[in-house]
This record gives sequence, structure tokens and C-alpha cells, in this order.
Amino acid sequence: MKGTELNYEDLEGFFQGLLDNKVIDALIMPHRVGNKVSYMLVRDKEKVASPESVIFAPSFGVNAANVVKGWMIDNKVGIVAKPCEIRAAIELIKLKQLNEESVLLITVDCSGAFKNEDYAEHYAEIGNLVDSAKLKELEGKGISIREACAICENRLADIGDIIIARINGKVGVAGLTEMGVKALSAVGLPLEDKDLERREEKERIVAEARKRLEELPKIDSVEALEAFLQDCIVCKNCRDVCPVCYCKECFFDQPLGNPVGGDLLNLAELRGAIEVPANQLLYHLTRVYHVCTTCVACGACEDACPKSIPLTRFYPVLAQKVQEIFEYVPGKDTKEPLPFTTYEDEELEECLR
Amino acid sequence: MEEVVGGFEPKIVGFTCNWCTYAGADLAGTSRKKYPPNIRIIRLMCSGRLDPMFVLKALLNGADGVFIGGCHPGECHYIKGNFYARRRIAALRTILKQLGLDKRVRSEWISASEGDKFARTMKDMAEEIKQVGPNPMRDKIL
Amino acid sequence: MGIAVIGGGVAGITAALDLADSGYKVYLIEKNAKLGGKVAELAECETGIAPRIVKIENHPNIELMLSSEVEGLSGSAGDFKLKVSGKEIDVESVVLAPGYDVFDSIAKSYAIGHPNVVTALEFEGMLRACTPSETGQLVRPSDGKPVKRIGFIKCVGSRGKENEICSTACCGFTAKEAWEVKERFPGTEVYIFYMDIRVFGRDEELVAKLKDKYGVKYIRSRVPEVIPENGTLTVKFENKPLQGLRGRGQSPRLENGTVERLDLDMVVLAVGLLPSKTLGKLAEIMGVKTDTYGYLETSLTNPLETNVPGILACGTATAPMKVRESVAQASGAALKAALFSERTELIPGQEERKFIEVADKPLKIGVFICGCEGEVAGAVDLPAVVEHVKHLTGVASVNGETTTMKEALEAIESGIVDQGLTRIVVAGYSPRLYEDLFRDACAKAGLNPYLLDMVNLREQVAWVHGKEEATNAAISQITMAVERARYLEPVPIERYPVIPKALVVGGGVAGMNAALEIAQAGYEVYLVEKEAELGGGLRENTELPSGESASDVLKEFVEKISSNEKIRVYTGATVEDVRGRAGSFRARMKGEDGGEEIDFGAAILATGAREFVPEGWYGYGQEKKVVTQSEFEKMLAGGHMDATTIVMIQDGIPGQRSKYSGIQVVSNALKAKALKPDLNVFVLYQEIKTYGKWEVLYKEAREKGVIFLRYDEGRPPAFQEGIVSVYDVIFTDEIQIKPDVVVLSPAMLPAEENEQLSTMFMIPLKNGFFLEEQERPKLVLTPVDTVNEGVFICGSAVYPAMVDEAIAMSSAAASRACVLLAKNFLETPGIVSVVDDAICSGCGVCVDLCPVEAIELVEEPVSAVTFGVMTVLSGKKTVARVIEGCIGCGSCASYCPSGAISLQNFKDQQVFAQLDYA
Ligand SMILES: Cc1cc2nc3c(=O)[nH]c(=O)nc-3n(C[C@H](O)[C@H](O)[C@H](O)COP(=O)(O)OP(=O)(O)OC[C@H]3O[C@@H](n4cnc5c(N)ncnc54)[C@H](O)[C@@H]3O)c2cc1C
Ligand code: SF4
Ligand code: SF4
Ligand code: SF4
Ligand code: SF4
Ligand code: SF4
Ligand code: FES
Repeated sequence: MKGTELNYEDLEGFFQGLLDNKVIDALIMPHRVGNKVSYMLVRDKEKVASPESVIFAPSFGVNAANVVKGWMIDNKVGIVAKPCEIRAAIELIKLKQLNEESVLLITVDCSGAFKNEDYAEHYAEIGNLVDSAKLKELEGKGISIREACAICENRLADIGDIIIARINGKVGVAGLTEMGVKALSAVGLPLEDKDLERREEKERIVAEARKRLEELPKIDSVEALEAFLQDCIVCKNCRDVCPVCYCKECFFDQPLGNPVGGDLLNLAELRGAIEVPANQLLYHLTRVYHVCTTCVACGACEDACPKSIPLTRFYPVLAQKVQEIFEYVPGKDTKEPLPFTTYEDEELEECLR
Repeated sequence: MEEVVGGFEPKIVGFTCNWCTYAGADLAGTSRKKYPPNIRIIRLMCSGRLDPMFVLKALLNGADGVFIGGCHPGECHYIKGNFYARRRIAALRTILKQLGLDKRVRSEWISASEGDKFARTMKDMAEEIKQVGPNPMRDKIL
Repeated sequence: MGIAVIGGGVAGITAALDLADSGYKVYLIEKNAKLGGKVAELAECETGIAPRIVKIENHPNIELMLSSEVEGLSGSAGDFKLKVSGKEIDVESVVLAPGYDVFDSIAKSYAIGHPNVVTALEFEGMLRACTPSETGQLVRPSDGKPVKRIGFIKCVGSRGKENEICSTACCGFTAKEAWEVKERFPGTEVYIFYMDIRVFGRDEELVAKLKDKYGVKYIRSRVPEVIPENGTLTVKFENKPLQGLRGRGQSPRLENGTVERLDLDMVVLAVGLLPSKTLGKLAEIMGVKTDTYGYLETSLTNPLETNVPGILACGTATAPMKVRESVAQASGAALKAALFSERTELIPGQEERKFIEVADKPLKIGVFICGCEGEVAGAVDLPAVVEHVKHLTGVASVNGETTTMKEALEAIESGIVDQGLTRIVVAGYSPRLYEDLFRDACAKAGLNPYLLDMVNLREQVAWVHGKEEATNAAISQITMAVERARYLEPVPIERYPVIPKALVVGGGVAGMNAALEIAQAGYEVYLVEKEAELGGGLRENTELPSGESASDVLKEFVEKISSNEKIRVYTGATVEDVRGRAGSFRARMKGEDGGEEIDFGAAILATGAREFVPEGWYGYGQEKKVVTQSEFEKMLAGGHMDATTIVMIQDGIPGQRSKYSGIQVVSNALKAKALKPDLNVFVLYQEIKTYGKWEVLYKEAREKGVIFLRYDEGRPPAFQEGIVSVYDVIFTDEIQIKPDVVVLSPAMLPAEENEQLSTMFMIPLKNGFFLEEQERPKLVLTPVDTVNEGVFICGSAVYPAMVDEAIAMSSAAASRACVLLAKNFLETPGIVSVVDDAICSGCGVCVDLCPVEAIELVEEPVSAVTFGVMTVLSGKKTVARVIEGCIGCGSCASYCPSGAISLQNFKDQQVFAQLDYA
């Protein structure tokens, strides 16, 4: 990959340069409001101020990809976000909910994040930047990163058009795609061959993440599933915030998926009684199937649940095994076909019976 | 539970493609191959029409087992249908496996000339599901 | 006038239907009281002919003459008078399909008469379990004890004194019967005694499976006698070490070259096929010639024509053959007969159909439970079912009285007309076979044919469950159907005109013949050949096995084609980008005429096969003396022979050989011998597959001194430093020969473009060859039809065939195409997908999934805002749209998470309804 090293402070100039040189027309990136971090859509470069203090901040609110989902615009928007968000954006490109030509995907390293409300609350202790040692220390104090982040194997930026990596007190900026490299040259960065793969660190993260995954309680029976979802009120927030639930009108908002009135009375007649709101289990089981190849394990669903159901143990965990059988990692590459659109002549027989 | 298992007759919903497995079931009939009466067949034109949601719906409705039958890979009437179906079923069963539900779902490729295989599969599956036991969703208010 | 079809076996049935469906008046004359011929006696209960017979019985264009015999004929082509059982009918042409009889003068030494010794046809009957009176058990007829060991003896009454020729079908049907036994009674030991295994294509796979997977023991030995002894049957045979027996698990260990004995519970004699006993008389009446063996005489390049113009021949009356070939010949003969005739009748289903509006009518479901001639009535408690179904919501009437299909059809029509039923549920017959018939009945009565659901009570309930269980199952399945029916929607059906033109891809014998026949039938034809010249394989050959010169045959074809103004030939061209459906296709041509678009109603794929270049095998390519049989044939055509010793290696190279291959070996050997009688010709082989009448060549070759050495499957011959060495299993010794020429028989490969054509025309391939519509390993009733209506296949593109077979198949494909082209209109299919624009998010996944590229993404304007006279578009959205060609697989609908695309007649809601009541 082609890239260069910058000081943290240089990032401001870099982002402004992207806007200035018309590489992009707008930028979606985190910004800070007091203790809180959220996303902004910037058109005026002057609004980009001290990005180094916020783009690595370990806070997760919404999945940025969900914000731009369906923006089939001709203008070009840069998106500065964490790996899981950019992965989601890449899946959305495959699903034609984002136009590959009109986004510049800029992935930043992630250390694991806190729920945005936890982050704001403990900002004094957490700060702008954390590393694994710091996270351990915080955990000791009862301040833990999200479960989704704890089991995340993909924290290092390695996808998108441009990556921004944290290396030894500096940031490495590199272009992964032609578009990314062009963007970097356009802002006048001196480019050289750069290896930001960081294989060893990655292995360490993966090992740790797998260990944490193993430790999660399993939902391994119908009874466990029912207990797990017992508080669910079928508000479908988990769907609304999910970047890869891309339907214009969800099946579960349609009469068949969300039966009401007479339809429901008929069903109640047939079965004697029926739970309302209806289709709670069908909704979750179908949704997990719908996202099983594209779920980027961002955990947004869990964060959004008003009933604090730890949905990470359901959606990403179940999806991961499916992704394994297809040897598919969502959001790796826009050119890689979605598993459900291809097949091999001989495969998967062992999974059928 | 014990008393239930003794007299337990599983209810199995079977999705079959028109051209192979449904035809195989017909052949089992014309050749008078008896098999247990647990299956309720739903005819689809192709296993490619099998939306895994149907399987979920069947299980939630209390079906003790779900059978999916299609043409052998490479012999689908529509060329690709069963290749897609195979991926979908594999994905679905991988999810169900983690929830301890995969044993209730089984698929087989049964061609129009495999009447025996159809009858045998029905027998095997009825036995298997008896082992697995009744679907706990059966009597739930869902 | 009309056309007479004589013989109501599978061949006659096929010919009659092809003709009647294209508007000809047909007299179908059968000497027995029922249709079906021998196929009706076979073990397979569902042979697929039942629906055809029903169709014939209800066909307005067919006059069925059962228990009738032809007594006389006068007149000539275009104006025959035929005397049939006292009646006189006027016909323009005649198709002869009187079939075969099995060999019945079985030698006493086979202990014929012993209850446990049966002929293959009797055995088929024993295996049948189609009615409760037929047991379908495998027990010894003598004492009802289970059969533990069964032996099949092949070639009884074939390839011998009584009948010189090979009966062709027996190797295949013996394998099928063995398979049936192994599948149904897995514990039975099966032994097959044979001389050669002459199976081709799919049967080859079956035999391999029998040997490897099912443990059937193939023993190469002609068994001279069967000795009944204390309740068992003993066969003695000379044992040679054979691969199939050596070291294979449980088989009795057999010694080299000794006489062995084996005790069996049952013996099946695979008796040969002979010309029907009455064929001679029929031939005499019709004035047609028979050949030396008593079959109707036809020729290699005119396999369907007799010596009398206007009288065509097909099926097993021309030579022993299997159903696949009989049916192909029958279709082909039908078209040839049609050429002499005037179309006088209407083609069924051509009238425009208007349907009653049901949307505003109350739901009235009519349930018709048919007793199916006692089959269902006897196995299910019908009154209980009726009683239950009556109370289901929406059910307006339940009819449990009908006992035959005809009654059921009539009841439905009157139910729609008189009671105003708006949904129909039929419980009884299999929708797979009879849905079309019942849909037509609905349509006739004015109800949209997709407002029908069917429950298969016969095959899937009555015949497989006990009474009480069957009754419960029937109630459940009918309830599910009623619920589905509730949600069925009328599917819009449109008529579109058929383009009366055909496309033929491939300009070999098959393609050329098909093009000519379609043109003769009056339709325009585009004939596309990728090479610069027509001819295909014919250009490689010098002489056909009949002795005709290949180039003469080719020249005749080419002349006929170029002088036929209905045929437009494109050489050096290929087809690209095919769109549309049966009756209305469009394709683009690529090649010299570049880019031209052609429209056609039917397509025939006849791309042939090509010979594998055996580079490296036995030094081919490096050593000049190693040649292929085709190259050797060219050497022979030179007219002189310098060599003194020739070695031919048959089967040495893996792969599928042509049916012609074995014949080519013996005929080349004979030709070589003719050029130089003292020439040493060795044929090293595994099987010499001179099937049918070609057997006589094999016999002649042996008589003329050609030496046939069989080698062991595991020990193929080697050719090193000029010496061929082979371990001969008969001499049980290594033999070394120093040949001047080594001749190889390479396998045949499918045409390279099949892959591409397969995707363009949606025709599945098997091992690279096109696959016919129904793959029934037992009986192939649709040898040239494919899963894509309107696209037909023939010749070596289906399997490497013999010239006569390729021609017969191509006539069949032409005939099937003409049946379609004869129609003025076709209807759009109902089971197709539709998109709900409001829900579609334009992800395009369905577009990627569709196997026929029937979906595309389109941009649509959204929310137009109007200011006075000016409309401002506020944006656009991308949605999927189903364009032409959807074949209704549902792959798209099962993906689309929000259900924006749905398959009509199989919508989520319709499936959900069934699930709720399952
Ligand atoms: C034991 C056995 C098993 C077989 N198994 C298979 C198999 O598995 N697969 C396969 O492909 N093939 C099989 N065959 C071969 C198959 O039976 C034939 O290919 C097929 O039946 C040929 O059909 P046909 O219409 O030519 O002749 P037939 O079936 O013989 O039909 C001829 C009809 O013409 C009638 N007829 C005869 N003379 C007259 C006349 N003068 N006037 C009026 N009617 C007349 C006859 O009554 C008969 O109904 C098997 C054959 C045998 C013996
Ligand atoms: S299902 Fe949950 S974890 Fe997966 S992508 Fe959607 S929001 Fe993120
Ligand atoms: S749950 Fe399924 S149908 Fe609903 S939005 Fe998500 S993907 Fe679409
Ligand atoms: S967000 Fe929580 S409560 Fe709402 S549907 Fe999802 S799991 Fe249920
Ligand atoms: S119909 Fe469904 S699958 Fe097709 S583009 Fe629309 S949303 Fe996607
Ligand atoms: S049903 Fe099958 S053929 Fe029709 S549009 Fe969908 S994927 Fe294509
Ligand atoms: S038609 Fe049987 S699987 Fe497609």
C-alpha cells in the first residue's frame, strides 16, 4: 500500500485538504460536543477542528453507514469511521444502497469503544485516546467497552479507500484503493510504500476477541432463546439502527410480518391464543437470517434496545458461524460477491442434514 | 415428558420441488412404498423458492420437523435453484444449530426416480424426530 | 382426411399426439383393448405414459380405434384407403408403430417352465406394485420364500443361432432390473451373466454404480443351462478371473478358468426383442419391405422411411431399441407423415379465453375430492373427509362423488358455471401430471386457471398410508390447500403470437436434417454453423457403415439446403444473447454477418460432439504409427494396405465413446481385411458394443479371422518400443505383438460451445452434453424436449450417437418444433415473478440470482411535484423489474428480504396459509 506518516496534528490539514481540493464535496466525521462524540456532515472545511482529538475517541453512538444508507447521490462524501462502520458501508455498496463512486471510505483504527452514554459519563477517566492497557485499567474500575467491541476481531483499519492507523505516537495514512491513493496525492501527501498490516498485533487482537467470545453466555436452546428475548417489546429499534437491514419496507412492517386486527384474530382462533404483539420470535429469527452474511458485528442493535437485551450475543454471534461456512468476512472488498448470490458446484453438503 | 414420547407422532412439514422430490414422492406412491404419515407436503416449483423464513415459521407454528427436498445439485429444472437453496439451508441450519434446533430440519436431494429414497427418508426422519422429541413451541402461546 | 397411426405403444402414442397437437386428424389403431404396449407391462408403475393416454382419450383430433386391426390398404401417398376391422378410413399417410414381441422359444436347458425361472418381462411384472393385487415382493414363486440370490442371464434369444442380432435394450433393462432389486431388497445378492455389457451414456453410469456401489456381480460367461435341484436353481459357468469378482469382499472366491457352480433362488432370462409376430402380415398388407431379420426395412440415412412413400415406420418395429429411441423415431415419423397431409383440425387451446372477474365476488371455494376409480375411495374414509372439509371457512361446496377424472373435470366446470365457485381445490390426482388438464377445465368454465389448487391424495396419501392415517393426512392436506386457495389470485394471462420460424444451431447431419424438415413443413429456418462449411462430423468421415460415401451424403444434404429458399444458412457464425420464450425468441448473430438480430419461435441445438485428441496416449502424437480410428478410416479409403500387423485398442482411453465406436472398430477391421486378407488384425478390447443389427459385422469379423483379445479392466495394454503387450484373460497370458499400425478409439467430447448455449438457452448439461427434459433413468419419454419450452436438442449434442439415431432424433426435434410453430398463439406463463415498486429497495440481488437474466434494475422518477403547468421531478429511485423470460423458479423471491419481488401463485402469503394449517 502507498502512504505516509503524519503527526496527529496534521490530520486537520489533511481533512481540510480533502474538502479544499474538491476530492470530496462533504465529509461525515465524528466531532465533539463537550464530553460527547457524535457525527457531523461537514461542507465548510473550517468546521473541521482538531479531528485528532475525536476520530479515535472510543465512543459508539450510531453506525455511520446507517446514516448514509440509501443516499444514492452524485456528490462525493467522505466517511471517517471505525472499521465496523466502514465494513457496513462496503456491504451497502454491494447492496446498491450506497454508490461506490460517491463515497470515499476512510477507516480509522479502533481500540474498542464504549457506549456513547458511558463514554460521556466517564470522559474524564477515558479521554480522547485509549490503548489496551488503559482499557484493562478502566475495566478494573467497572468501565467496560461494549460486548460487541470486546469480541471484535477487526479493530485495526484494513479496509476502505484510506486507512488511518495509530503507530508509535504517529498516524499512518495509506490508500488501499486507486481512489484512495488518488485522494492522498491530491492533498499533496508524499507517498511511499508503506506496510500497515500489523500482522502480529492483529493476531493478538483476534486471540483476545475469540477468548472473550467463548466466555459469552450461549443461547443454545429454545428455552434459552425465549428467556433471552423475554423482555423484547418488538419495537424493532434493533432493526432500525442496523446498517445492513436495508429494506425500504421491512417484512415485519407489512401485513404478513406484522399481522393485526382480523388477520390476528384468525390466527388466534386457529391456535386458541396468540401472543401480541405477534411474531416476536419470527422477527428475530428471520432478521438474524436476513443479516447472517452481512452483519458486521457493530453491536448497534444492542445499544439501541430500550430493554437492554444483550443482542450482541444473538445477532453477530449467530451470524459469525454462518460467515465461517462461507469463508466470508463482510465488508472486506466491494468486489467480493455476497454469499447468497454465488455457489460452488460441490459444497456444504455436511451442513444440510 | 415420558408419556408424550411414547405416543408421540411427530408432525413434519415437507417442502418439495415439483420436478424432483415431489415426483419422487409420487413414485413412492405408485410403487406402493409405505411410509409413516407424519409428512405434510407443500409443493414448491423449485427448492430455489424455499425462503428459510418458511422453515422458521413452520418451527414456530409447532412443526416437529421440517423436510426440504430438491433435485440433486446440477439437476435442478431451473439450473441454479438448488445451488442457492443449498446455501440458504446451510446458513439457516448453522443458525439453528447454535440454538439447538438444527436436528429438526433436514434436507435431501431426491430425484424423480428415487421413490425408495423418498420413502426411506420419510421413515428415517420420523424416527429421528421421535428421538429429538416434540417441538417445545407446540403448546406455547406464540 | 387424416393420418393413421398403427400401434398404440409408446411410439404410436407419441406420434399420434404430435400430429393431433399440430392440427391433423389422427386415427390411432391398436389391436389390443388398451393403449400402452409393452411399456404398460414394465415394472415402473409411473412410466409417464398415463397422462398421455388421458390426453389421447380426450383429444378432439384423435379417433381412437381399440381392438382394431388393419385388413387392407389401397391407394397411394396422399390418398390411401385403409380397411380397419371392417371400417374404411381415408388417410393421406400412415405411421407404422406395431412394436415388438419378446423371444419365446427358450431352450429347455434353461429350465423354462420352472416357477422360479422367469423371463425379464415376467420379472418386470413381478416387481410391479401398482395395484394392491400386484405384490411387488421379491419371493420365489414356487414357495413364497424370500429370494436371497438372483441371477440374470443375458442374451437369451439374442446373438445366437435363433436370432443373430443383439437386442440392444436387454443390457440396459437388466441393469435397471438389478438396480430395482438392489434398491428395494438390498439384502439380495445379484449376479449377472453376460457376454458384453453394451450400454451407453447414462446406462453406463448405472452399470458402474451397480458394480461399485451396489455390489452386483457381473460375470462374463454364457450360461448354457439352469439345473433345478432341491428347491434351488444351479447354474454352471466357466469362470475367468474377472475384475468384478476378484478380491471383492463377500463374493465366493472363484478359481481361474474353472467351471463354477452357483445356487440361485431365482433366474431371470433377459430374453431378446424380436419383430412382432404379426409384423410380417402387417407389412404384407401395407406393401412395405422387411429386412433379413423380419423388421421393417429402413436405411441408415433414412431411418424412418419405408419403401412406400407416405408410409413411415418407427419404434421397435424397425429394430430393437429402448423407449428413448422409439419415442424419438415416433416424433420424427409423425412430422414426415404430416408432410403428406393437409391440416384440417383446430389446435386445442388456441381460442382466446376470457375469465370472470373474481375480485369483487365473495370467496366461494369448491372442493372436489375424487375417488380415483376406487384408488382413493378404497383407502381413505371419504365421507369423513367430506364432512370435515365442509366446515372449513370459505368452502361453498364439497363434492366427494366423482370417481373418474372425466367426472371430476365435468363437475368442476359445472361448479364454476352453475354455482359461481371462485376457487377450486381438487383432491385426488397428482398436480405434476394433471394440473394442466384441471387448469384447462377451470379456464374453459371461465375461471382463471391459477385459482386452482391440487392435493395429491392418490400417490401421496392413499397408496402410502393405512386407512386411518390416510384419512387424517387427507384432511390435513386438503385443509392446507383450502387455506392456500383462499389467497390465490387470478394471474394475468396474455396471448402472444408465435413467430413461425426456427433457429437451428449446428450444421452437422442432425442440424441439417432438422432444418430441412422444418422447412419442408413450411416454416422458415435459420441454420447457424460456426465453421466455414456445413457438414460437421460428416466431413471427417469417408464412408458410413452402410457403405454410403460420407461426402455424397453430405453433398446431397447441402444441395437440398441451398436449394430450399426457406432456409437461411449462416456459416462462420454463432448466436449470442438469446432472449424471450417459447414462440417468441430473439437472438443476435455473431460472425461474418455480424450483429444481425433474428426472431424465431423455436430453437434446436444440434452442436454435435468432437473427438478427443488422444495426445500422449499410447504415443499418439509422437509415433507416426499410432492413429485414431477416423484417421485409419481415411488410410483405408486410400485403397491399399502396406502393413502386415494392425493392433486396435478399444476402450484404452477413458471417457464416453460414441455409439458408433464399436461398429467402427469391426467395420474398419473388416475393410482392412478386405484390402489384404492375410493381414493380422488384433482388437484389444473390454467390450465390443456392436448393438442391434451391427452384431452381424462383429460375427463376420471373427469369421474373417480378426483376432479379438479381451484384457482385464485393471490391466490395459501397453505400447512400448514398438511392442504392444497385453494380458489376455482368455489365454491367461501376456501377449506381445509388434504392430505396424496402432489404432486408438478416443472418447467423444461435447462441443465447446455447449457451456455457453446452456446458459443462453437455459438447458442443463450433464457431462457437457445437453440434458433432456425429464431425467428418468428408466424411461425417457421426452428425448428431444428440454426444460425450456421451445428449445429442443438432438444428435450427438445429447450423447454421441450413431448416424441413423442422430437423424431420427433430429427429425423428432423438428417435429416437436413444428408442433409449437403450428400454433398461432401461446399464452404467457402464470408462475412468474412480479415486483412491488413501492417496497423494492433496488439492491439488485435478485438480478444477480435470476438464472435467466429476467430481472433488470430500472430508474424511476419519484414524487413529482407540480407547479401550475410545470412538473418538477424531485428525484429518482432504482427498482427491479421482471422483464421477459421469467421461468418461475422463485430464487429471487426467496432472497428478497422484504418480499418486494414475489412469485405469483407461490407468494409468501400462500405458503404461510398452508403452514398455519399444516
Ligand atoms: C423386459 C423388458 C424391459 C424393458 N425395460 C426398458 C427400460 O427400462 N427402458 C427402456 O427405455 N426400454 C425398455 N424396454 C424396451 C421397451 O419396452 C421398448 O423400447 C418400447 O416398449 C417400444 O415401444 P413401441 O411403441 O415401439 O412398441 P410396443 O410397446 O411393443 O407397442 C406396440 C403396440 O402396437 C400394437 N400393435 C402391434 N401390431 C399391431 C397391428 N397390426 N395393428 C394394431 N396395433 C398393433 C401392440 O399391441 C402394441 O400395443 C424393455 C423391454 C423389455 C422386454
Ligand atoms: S445486526 Fe446488529 S451487530 Fe449486526 S450489523 Fe446489524 S446492528 Fe450491527
Ligand atoms: S429484518 Fe429483514 S425484512 Fe426487515 S429490514 Fe431487516 S432485512 Fe429487511
Ligand atoms: S430493540 Fe430490543 S425490544 Fe426492540 S425489537 Fe429489538 S430486541 Fe426487541
Ligand atoms: S426486488 Fe428485492 S431483491 Fe430485488 S432489487 Fe428489490 S429489494 Fe432487492
Ligand atoms: S422467478 Fe426465477 S426466473 Fe423468474 S425472475 Fe425470479 S429468479 Fe428469475
Ligand atoms: S426444480 Fe428441483 S430443485 Fe430446482
